[in-house]
Amino acid sequence: MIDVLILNRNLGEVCDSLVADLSDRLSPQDTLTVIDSGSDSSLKSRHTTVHVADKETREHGLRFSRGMNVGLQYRRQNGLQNPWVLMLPVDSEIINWELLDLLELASRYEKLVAIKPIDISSGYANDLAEGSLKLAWNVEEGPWLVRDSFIEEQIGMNPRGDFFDHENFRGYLTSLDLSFRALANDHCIGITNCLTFHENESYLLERADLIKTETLDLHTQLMISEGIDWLRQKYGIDDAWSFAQIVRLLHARFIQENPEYEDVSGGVCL
Amino acid sequence: MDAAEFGGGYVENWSTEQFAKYVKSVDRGGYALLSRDHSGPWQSSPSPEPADSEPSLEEAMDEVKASLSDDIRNGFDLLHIDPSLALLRGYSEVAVEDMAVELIAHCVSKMPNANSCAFEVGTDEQDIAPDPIDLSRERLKKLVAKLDKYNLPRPTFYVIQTGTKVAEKRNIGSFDQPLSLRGCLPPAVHLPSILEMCTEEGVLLKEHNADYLSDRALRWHKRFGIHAANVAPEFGVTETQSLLRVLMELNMTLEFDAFSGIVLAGGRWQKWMLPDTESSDRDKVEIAGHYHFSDPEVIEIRARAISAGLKSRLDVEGRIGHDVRCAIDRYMRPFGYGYGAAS
Repeated sequence: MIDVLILNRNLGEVCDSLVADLSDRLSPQDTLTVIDSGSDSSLKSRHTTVHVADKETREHGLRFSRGMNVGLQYRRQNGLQNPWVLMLPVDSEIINWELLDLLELASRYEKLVAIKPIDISSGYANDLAEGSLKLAWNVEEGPWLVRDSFIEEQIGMNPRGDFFDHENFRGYLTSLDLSFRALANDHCIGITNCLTFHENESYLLERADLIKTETLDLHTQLMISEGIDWLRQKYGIDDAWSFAQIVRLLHARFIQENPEYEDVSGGVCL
Repeated sequence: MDAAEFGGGYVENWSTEQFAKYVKSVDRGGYALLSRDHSGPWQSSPSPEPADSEPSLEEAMDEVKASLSDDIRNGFDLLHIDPSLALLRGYSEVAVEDMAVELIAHCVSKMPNANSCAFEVGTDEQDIAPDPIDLSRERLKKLVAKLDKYNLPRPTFYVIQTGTKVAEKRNIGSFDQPLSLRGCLPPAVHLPSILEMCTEEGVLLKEHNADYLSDRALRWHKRFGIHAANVAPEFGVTETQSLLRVLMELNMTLEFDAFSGIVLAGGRWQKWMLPDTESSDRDKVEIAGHYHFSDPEVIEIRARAISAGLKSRLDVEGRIGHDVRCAIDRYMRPFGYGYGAAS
């Protein structure tokens, strides 16, 4: 039913624990791929499937977008083709897992191509009834559940054959970019609490040295400065809120053009 | 400022009547609206936190009503009703709403006619993050229902948290952050929702604590459609910074130190400090200097600066006024008003 991709960097034990947690929940048809982003050999997960270990990756890591692109390529090359792909950063902790309910819900909306499992602290948490799904357009970063057909459509349009933008190394506005690409192609995205995760930031805050990454503060500064350059170059826009307004208008237009999605629209995601 | 019976306010030590007379005397075109900010029980206390010696609720409400009556007598146009400090004293949200309704009812009973004053209402504490939209909607609907029930006017402006909060010399709220804060809806999601909610209930959104927002955030106020914003401490800080610069420029070290000493000893800077503050004494002086502009010693210091400025061909008050106008212009331009009073 789903192919799971986990991206690890120097947090082998954390990754193994996440894999163990998932293994209890996945069905035999599901697959699980662990992408290793230049970890030291002692800090790789026991379940590593793909190990990227070139000099640049060892020094800087792949980060979410490039790491998931690697995982998606591996998935294609190895003929994995479940209809949905769940992409997880290694610091994701499962809080709620009602996957079958979610997939049943999602099957009613064929234009729904990506679903954001919310974090327990999400600003959207109050807007979702228990076990529900709603359309959204501007959501937090982190895990994604993406429809295989949308991945294929986007990979087919990308000169590098990537799903996420390779040039957006630190993942600035990745979710908004994904929303834009979905809505601009007459699809939509949603949020759910059928799947709920918690991003355990303590690893980044306390173990940045071990992970061999920048501190969270430095990473955030770089993400913003590099990200604004990326936004300028890709879209000719230098303000994230301007980009957000465009995506909001596309979302509003989608709701207008697809009244059959009214039962999953509304609330704060006008 | 406040009513004479409560000792006036820190701006020129004026009473409400003196303030109103002054504004009307200089506003020859009749452009200025007189507005009361944060009128509610315990709002005149030195600290927002409860204190042993403070008045009871009944006494505090009586003071507020007397103060509001004085505002109305002196021709105020907009009255901001804010009983939110009662929340810090253990009163429920419902009780706080009832206080707002009681104060509006009092004002209406004192108004010469139904349209002589407009109201602004805020019943929750200023916070760094916006409240959940459902909660804001529920609060607004309950307030409006109570006002309708007693045939009282709905507020023209309603205060909702937009993620703005002033501490020290910056805005620490979620609104003006380069990335969305964890647990907060992005402003581009939150604001259209609350604006629609305000429209549904026939009120205008008033943002408080808009001080120190970036130029970019201010430009977006008009684009998002935020109806009104409140700015105050930043302009007082600007005036103090300008005065300090002038004193330095004129080599008036003694006066600079004396002014700083008065402000630091006064302690009015304390309420603006973050718990883990790294503010220097200079920062504290800049933050709280404006509370002391009416102290006789500070008036004397300023007078000496004006005299010294004359000898050095420096128009001290002109310079300070220009700096404050520039700070105000930083807001007026992106909000779509004027074309540069400071130019």
